[in-house]
Amino acid sequence: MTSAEKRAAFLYALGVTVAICGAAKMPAEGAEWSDALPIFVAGAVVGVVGLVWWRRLRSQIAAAMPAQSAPDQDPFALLAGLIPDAKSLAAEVGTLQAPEIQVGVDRLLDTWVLPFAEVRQSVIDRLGMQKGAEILVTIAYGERMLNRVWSAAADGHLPEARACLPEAVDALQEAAQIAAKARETG
Amino acid sequence: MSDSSTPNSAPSGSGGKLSPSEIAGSAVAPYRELTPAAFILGVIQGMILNLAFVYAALKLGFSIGGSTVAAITGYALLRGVMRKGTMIENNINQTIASGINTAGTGVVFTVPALFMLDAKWRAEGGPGLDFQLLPLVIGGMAGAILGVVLIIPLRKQMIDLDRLRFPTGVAVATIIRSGSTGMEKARLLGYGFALSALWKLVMAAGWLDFPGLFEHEELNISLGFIPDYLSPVLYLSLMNFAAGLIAGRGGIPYFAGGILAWWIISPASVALDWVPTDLEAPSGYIYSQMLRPLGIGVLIGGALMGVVVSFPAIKSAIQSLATAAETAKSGGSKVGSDEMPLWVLIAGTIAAVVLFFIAAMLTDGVSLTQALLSSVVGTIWLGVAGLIVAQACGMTDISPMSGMALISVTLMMFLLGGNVPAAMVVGVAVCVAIGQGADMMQDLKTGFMIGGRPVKQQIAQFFVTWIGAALALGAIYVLWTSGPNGQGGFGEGSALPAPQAGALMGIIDAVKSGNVPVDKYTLGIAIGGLLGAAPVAGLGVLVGLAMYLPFSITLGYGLGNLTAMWLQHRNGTAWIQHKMIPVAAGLIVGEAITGIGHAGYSILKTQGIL
Repeated sequence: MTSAEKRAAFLYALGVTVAICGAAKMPAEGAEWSDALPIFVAGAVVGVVGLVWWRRLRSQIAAAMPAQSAPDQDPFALLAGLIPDAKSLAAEVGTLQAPEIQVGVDRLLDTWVLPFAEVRQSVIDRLGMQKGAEILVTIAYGERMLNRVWSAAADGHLPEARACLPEAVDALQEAAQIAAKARETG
Repeated sequence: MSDSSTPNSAPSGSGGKLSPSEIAGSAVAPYRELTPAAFILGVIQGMILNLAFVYAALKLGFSIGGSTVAAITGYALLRGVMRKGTMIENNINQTIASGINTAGTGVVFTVPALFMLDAKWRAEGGPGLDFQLLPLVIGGMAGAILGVVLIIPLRKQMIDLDRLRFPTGVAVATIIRSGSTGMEKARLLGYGFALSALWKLVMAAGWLDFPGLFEHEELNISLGFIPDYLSPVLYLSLMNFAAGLIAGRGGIPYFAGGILAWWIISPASVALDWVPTDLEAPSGYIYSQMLRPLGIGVLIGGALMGVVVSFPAIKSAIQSLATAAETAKSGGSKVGSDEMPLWVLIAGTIAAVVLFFIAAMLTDGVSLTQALLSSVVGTIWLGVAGLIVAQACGMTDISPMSGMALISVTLMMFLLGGNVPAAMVVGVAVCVAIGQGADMMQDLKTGFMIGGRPVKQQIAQFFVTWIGAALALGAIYVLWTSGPNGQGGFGEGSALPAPQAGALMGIIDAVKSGNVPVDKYTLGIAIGGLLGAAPVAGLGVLVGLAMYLPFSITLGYGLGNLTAMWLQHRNGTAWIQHKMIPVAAGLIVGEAITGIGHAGYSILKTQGIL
């Protein structure tokens, strides 16, 4: 978080805390609302101000993000690295045995897919919820198919493992294409 | 690990793809997933677990999820005995077993209150409660179906996008894979299991109990000077700690919510003289009158705002369900083709709402308008409550089912003019539904981690979900009528005290006397909405949950979060995945299995068998 974000988040948290305090007081006997209701309202207003400020700052930061991300923090760089590695594994899977397939899948997951999942929020921040969701869901499908490849190999069912790996690669490639198109159209 | 009974070699085409002729010519058996063996084993296990946990819940006041037990048994029977089980087949087995078992939990937390209230009011000289079992059975079945169909469109949001942790789902996946991940991970799982099992045994046996310091698995950490209103108590459950470990940094907002509730709001309330000064232990008042009802409101508001914020993604998920069949046929994207078709979900929803309506109409004192209103409003509320509980389970492994039952019964009593049996039909439906929804999501998380096809798990659970509700209701009826003169088989003073139902009885009495904390629920919803709008996923649900639960649980869980963050900083993400997760999974499984064993031992001892 930047220092401006921290100030906004602090104002928001302060407002919410005061609102909760005001809401916690019990009403007097026979009354429906407590006399601390004005405290709740004041806290809620401060919280809303802090929230709007915080969200505006995050939008500004997200818009500036492409020029500032380190490669291992940039989901699109991770996606770009994942595709050739996954295609390479798919090309040789016909000659690999179960333990080798498992090692290959573990490498793809540990090197690219799981780090991508860690920074997935920036995909939504940069491309919006609709496009971002489409990309993340497609990546998740690819990841699930990689997990299926691993399980099938572990169970000794090589035909299933060999059949599912191209499906995983197709999904990951589809995600990369959607991301590229979304970034072009801005 | 290679199973010699499974053919594992086949001609390979270029690029790893099998050509149609190669597939046609191959003698390779299909990869086992939704099989009769998995189905039958899951149903048998589910029914046994359902009956056992209904009895245990009436006796001890809590129930235990059956996923871990079913996964272990499935591993032993499918792979060990039948020698041809696969991991995804075992996942189907545990999906079915846990689905049937969980439906029983929703019933046992609500229905016994009807029997007990009827007996209580008759004993006080009143007319008692006039209710039939059939509407409850139909309502429970409607809730079971709705719970599954309404949560399915949220799979993409919760698992693919939000990546909710579902710690028990992760633990089950680790168990399912344990034989194939090498001895190292299996050994770590075993260490965690042994440590947690031993610790649970010590706790349950009370060997370390010391009045005032260590009781009921809670450690008093006041050190003689920390005031009671700061709730200086730590719940010493390794399962709870392990859930915090698995959640890691993602669970910090929940921990922060607990600190806010008990180290800021609570002392502020005392300092401002908002708490009666004549109380020996003000924490009880602060919790029951202030924080818990406020927390329920925050949970609801946070979940509703979460739906608003993520509406584009939910809309996209439903659209992809609608178009999946077309795109899959045309050879296009297969993403979205792995879910139950939208028409099945719509048909299931309509059928369940009709069942809901029938159940309401069969209840005495309910008019046509009231039946329509309760089935429509009940379904909408059921969907919201299911979302709340699934999110809470996903983030923390904790299910606020009793809070949702409370709101359900309260809401329906208002809508139905105080008709308790009719309100309870909806209450049963909601409780069964939210249990099914959270269980379905947890199982889908396990399926994601091992590569199962969601549609197969959804089909499996959809077809068996009604069994658990019907079975549990039958068990409760049999247990009640086994008492003297055909009633009183459970309740206060009997061998099966049914504490959860006792709590619900208290709430119904309070609603009847007009004692509902409307201010807390209303202001809580507003606060939850404000929290839910923050750019931190699920903040409203997490803070609401922290206020709803005792701080002893939140504190133990938060220590798990902090420990995981420290370990990740020190050893890196890969170490967490390959070392910490198996140990944490073992901690969860060890306590679950020992808890079940202890429940069985207690019951047998009470019956005089041991």
